[in-house]
Amino acid sequence: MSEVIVSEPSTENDASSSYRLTPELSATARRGSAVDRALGLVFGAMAAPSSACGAARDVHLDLVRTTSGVLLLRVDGIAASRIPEVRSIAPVLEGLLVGFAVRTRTRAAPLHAASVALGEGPILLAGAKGSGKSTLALALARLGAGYLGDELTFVRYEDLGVEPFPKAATLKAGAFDLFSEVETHLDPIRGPVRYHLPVAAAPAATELGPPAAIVLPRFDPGADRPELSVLDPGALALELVQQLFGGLARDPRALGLVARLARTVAYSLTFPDLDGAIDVMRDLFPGVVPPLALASGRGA
Amino acid sequence: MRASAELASLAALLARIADLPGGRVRASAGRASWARWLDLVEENQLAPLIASRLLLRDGARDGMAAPASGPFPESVASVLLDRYVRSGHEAAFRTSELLRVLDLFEETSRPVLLKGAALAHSLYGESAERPMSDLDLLLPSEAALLRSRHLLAGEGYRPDPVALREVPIGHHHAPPLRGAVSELTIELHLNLATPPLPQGAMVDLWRRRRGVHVAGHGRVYVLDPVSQLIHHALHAVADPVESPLLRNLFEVACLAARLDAADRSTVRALALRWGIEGRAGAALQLAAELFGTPVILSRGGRLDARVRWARARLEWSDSAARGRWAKLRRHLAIEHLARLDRGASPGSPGPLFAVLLDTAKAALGSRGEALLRRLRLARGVALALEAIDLPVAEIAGRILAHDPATGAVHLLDAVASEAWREARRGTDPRSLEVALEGRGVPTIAARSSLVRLSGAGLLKLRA
Repeated sequence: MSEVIVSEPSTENDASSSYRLTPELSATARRGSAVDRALGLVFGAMAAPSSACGAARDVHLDLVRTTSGVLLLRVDGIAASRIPEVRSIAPVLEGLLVGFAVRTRTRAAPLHAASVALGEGPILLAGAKGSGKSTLALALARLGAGYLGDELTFVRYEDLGVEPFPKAATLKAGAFDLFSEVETHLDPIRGPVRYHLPVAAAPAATELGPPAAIVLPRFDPGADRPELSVLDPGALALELVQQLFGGLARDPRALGLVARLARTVAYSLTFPDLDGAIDVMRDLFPGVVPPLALASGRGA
Repeated sequence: MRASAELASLAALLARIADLPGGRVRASAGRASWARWLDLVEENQLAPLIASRLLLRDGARDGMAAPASGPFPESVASVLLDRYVRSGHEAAFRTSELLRVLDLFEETSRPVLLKGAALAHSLYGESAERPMSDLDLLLPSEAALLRSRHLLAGEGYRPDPVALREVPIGHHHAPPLRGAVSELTIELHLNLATPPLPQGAMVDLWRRRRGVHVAGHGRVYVLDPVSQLIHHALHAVADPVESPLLRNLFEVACLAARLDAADRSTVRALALRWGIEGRAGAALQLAAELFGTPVILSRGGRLDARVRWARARLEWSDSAARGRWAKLRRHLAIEHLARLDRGASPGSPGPLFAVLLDTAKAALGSRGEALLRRLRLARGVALALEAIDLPVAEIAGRILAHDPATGAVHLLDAVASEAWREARRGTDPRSLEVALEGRGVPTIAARSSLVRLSGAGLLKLRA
């Protein structure tokens, strides 16, 4: 049932581009290739200066065409999946590598949360798909907040330190009009998507302290006005369990991490439009700060 | 074989995809329903393969809004494509992790890949086409298995506490190892079947294994084609209910079609030598009926009940039908097959009635006990209760408890939290209510709290 693969020729001198996604994972691709361009679009803030970027695990990606012209993605040289069309390369790689990052990071808990740096420190915007966290994070970044990521944030078990995952914010069609127009890509699962990487994206190697606050955004177009309420620790804990990839079973330290994080000041924010949400965030966290300086690394 | 229009259509499609002759399936009258067809596809985890072969075969079409839906309605095509892409993400990680784990072993002592991990790159074009729930590795000895477990433990793979209870002693694989971070399960096998193949057979299989060179990772081992067919044929109807039966039979058909006359003779000789003609023959016969591939082995009458359940199960699409009848039907099949494995009469309808009776008694028994306990607590009867040993954390004076066995998370209110603490302190369990009253908790609140904790399974009767 297999087709013949026609590989792109490679030479010993082909340079590789490397992207350090977490302290434990990097992705590499031949420099200048279609995969490299797609990785740069999505993970550009995580580009590493050399192919030996110190991550514990490296995954090499390349694309080949079969004799029938199908684009085939290979992971470490093994045929993994077909890509429907060129416009789907970036979204497929995004989904793939976010999964890799979640399933290889052992010293930090992955939360389904966007994050920005405002005021005293990192602010987590936690919530499920459709909650508006990506849009809100991107909007805050455009106003000068430090951009730490739109979908995935790691929190270290040891000290609750926040680790950014500053991939480009992925906007779905409903949010296209809120931001400048850029190229549209086609995700086979989510439909049309666009990528925006804020200028104020913190490098992935940045090490930060614990979250200063946690906000649970809820986009509700039917609401009359934004509504903000303080969340009690119990309710916050239950929400954090929901947004923890793999749940509490992932690591015996996860329960303790949730309990400690639940002491963080937290708010529930329901908003019908982005401007209203931004106004509330400005009132909550006065002033905007420049992107955080890179702290000296402590390793994985 | 008579089949629904949907099953017949699906079997014909699979035969076409794999260039198989096509079976002798007579479709019942009536128009096929796309909804039910898709249910069968999902039930048998075939969506990624169909999407790959029929939606993505003609090359990337740059500039087009979406891939053509092929012979399917758009709604069906979008589901197929969605499953394929998700399978691709999963497959990429699984392959990468598998190679990383294999690199831990010395090349000469590497395990043999079984089932999906072996087929993904031999029968299929790319790993996305073949979803799998775990990785199966065959080892040559108990000592090798223990060394492997130690190696894997260092990588975060630990015995799955839930699966530990479900794998009986003497099963052909040890209790599965689960990587909580990788979310992968690895099963280590010393034999290919339960009841086991003779030790001589396993020695022979190990000797016949084939090495495949993988760039950057040395050799990866799989069973030789004859052994692979025998293994898949044994498994396809060993557990027809809880595995994707149609897909498993499709794979048996593809493996059978690849063998030449000499290999088929070898299959017959080995099956006779190992005493597994009947067990493997059932799958080969069903595969032949569905896909027109060689039968190779005949089956004995003892497995008629198993084959009957397998035929019926081919039409089940329980991923959609979650009602009580679907659950009961599955339960009956599983229990009846378990009795067959224990040597009960294969054909008599009697076992079905016995299964129903046993099931009703067990359900009433456990629910009855729980209900009685709650009623007695509500009436203020002092029961000897103790707290279940669970991981807990304190959050603003409240207990957050996690039950790893069920995945349940409980956030207890103030009174329940205090009751829990009392139980954990070793307070005389018959005096829990009194102890709570001593702390100022009203009787009704204390009693209600104990009832709720008991109902949630957080307190149990002391043995």
